Amino acid sequence: MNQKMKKIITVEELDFFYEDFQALTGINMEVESNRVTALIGPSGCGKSTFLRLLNRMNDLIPGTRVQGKVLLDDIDLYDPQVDPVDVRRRVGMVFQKPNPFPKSIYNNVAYGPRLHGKLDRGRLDRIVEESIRAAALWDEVKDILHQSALGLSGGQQQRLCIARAIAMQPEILLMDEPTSALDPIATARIEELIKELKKNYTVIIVTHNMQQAARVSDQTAFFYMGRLVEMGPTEEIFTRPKKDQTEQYITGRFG
Amino acid sequence: MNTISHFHRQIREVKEDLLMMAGLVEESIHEAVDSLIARDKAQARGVIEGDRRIDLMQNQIEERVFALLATQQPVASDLRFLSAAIKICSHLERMGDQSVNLADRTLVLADMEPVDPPRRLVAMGELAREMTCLCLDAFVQNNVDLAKNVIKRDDELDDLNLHILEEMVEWMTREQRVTRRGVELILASRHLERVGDEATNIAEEVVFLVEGEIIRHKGVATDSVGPL
Repeated sequence: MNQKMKKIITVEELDFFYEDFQALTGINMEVESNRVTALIGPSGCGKSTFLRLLNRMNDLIPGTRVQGKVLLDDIDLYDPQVDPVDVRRRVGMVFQKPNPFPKSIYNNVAYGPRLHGKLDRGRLDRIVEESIRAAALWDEVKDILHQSALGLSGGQQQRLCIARAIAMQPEILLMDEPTSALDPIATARIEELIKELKKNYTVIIVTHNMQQAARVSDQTAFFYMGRLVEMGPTEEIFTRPKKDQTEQYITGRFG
Repeated sequence: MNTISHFHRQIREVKEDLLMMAGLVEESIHEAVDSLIARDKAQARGVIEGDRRIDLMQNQIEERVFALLATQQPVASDLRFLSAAIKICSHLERMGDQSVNLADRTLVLADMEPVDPPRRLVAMGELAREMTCLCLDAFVQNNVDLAKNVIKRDDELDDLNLHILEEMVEWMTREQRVTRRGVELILASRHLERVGDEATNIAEEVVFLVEGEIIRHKGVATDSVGPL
C-alpha cells in the first residue's frame, strides 16, 4: 500500500508521420506502472497510432517516420540498437477482434514461449496454465485444452488472446478496443479482468466507449487531431476536465 | 455544426422545469411574507394549497433526472448539472415548506390581537426574497460571483434572526400576555432564516456546477469535529 507509483513509459516530443501526413504532434506522456491508462478521442485522432508506436507496430507500415522518444524504463524503443522483436516481447498487444491462431487452445498460449526458447513440457504446461488462469479463462477451458481455439465464444477467444500475450511475460499490455466485438457480458468480464491484470502489468487501452474508459482506467488521456489535449486521473477527467475540448468531447457536444 | 442532441434538449428541459418550480417557490415566499404583514388569512391559505404543486414538481424533476442518469450516463458538466439539479429541487421544495410554515404563523397571528411585525422581520422577508431571486439568477446564468454574493448575504439574515430573538424575548419578559405572539414571530423569523439557508445551499450548488468544486462544509476543522 501507499507504494510510490513508478514511471514505466515516458514519451517525449513524439511526432509521427504517414508519408507527408503528420498523424501525431508533440506528444509528451508519462505512464505509471501497474495502472490502467485509457486513450480516448474521436476516430482519426491518433490514439490507435500512438498505441501502436508503443511496441513499434507501425514499423511494419512502409513510409512511416517517428521523431522524439519513447522510453521504456530508460531505453529508447526507437534507438537503432533496439530490436523490435525484443520490444514486442516486453510490450504485448491485444487487438480489436479476437484473433486466435487456428490451433488448439494450449498451442495458442504455448506458441510464443516455444518460439522464444526451448522449454521442457512441465515448464510449458505451467506457463500455459498460469497465463490462462491470469486471463480468467482456466475454469472454462481446462478440460478442452487440446480442442481448437476457434470453437470458443468471442469473449473466450479474446481472453485467450490476453492469455497468449501474458504467456510472454510482458511488462506492458496494449489493448486496442479489446471489447468492441463482444457482447455486454463478455465485455464486463474483460473489464473485470483488466482491473485484475493491473496488479501484475501496466495496461494501456484504446477505447471508443467512454464509459468503458471511465470504468476501467486510472488515468485517461484525451487525443484530438494528433495531439494529446489532456491527461489526468480518470475521475477528474469525467467529472471536471480542465480543457474545454475534453469537456466538449466527453459530453458529446463535439461536431 | 450547431445541432443539439436529444439528450442536451432533455437537460435543457430539466433546467426549464427547475426554473418553473423556482418561480412558484419565489411567489410562495412573497405571498407568505405579505400575508404575515397584512394578516391576510385567505392569502396564507393560498400559499398552503399552492405548496402541493411545488411538491409534485419536485417528484417530476427527480424522476426525469434519474431517468437521464440511468439511460445517458452523463459526465463532466452534464453530470454536475444533473446532480446539482436533484439537490436544487430538494432545496426549493424545502423553501416551499418554509413558506407554508410562515403561512401557518399568519393563520395563528391573524386571530390574535394585532401586533406590528418587527421592523427587522420585514427586512428579513425582503432579504430572504432577494436571496431567493439571486441564487436562481446565479443558477440560470452560471454566475459564480452572484452565487458567492448570496452566500455572503446569509450572514445578514442570521444576524437579523438573532436580533429578533433578543427583541422578542425582551418584549415577552416585559409583557407576559404577548408571549404567544412573540413565539409566533420568533418562529416566523426562524422560517425566513431557513429560507436564506436554502438559498445559500442552492448558491453552493451553483459554484459546484460551474467550477466542479464542493465548497460547503469548508470550515476549519476543530478538535471536537476533527478531520474526516
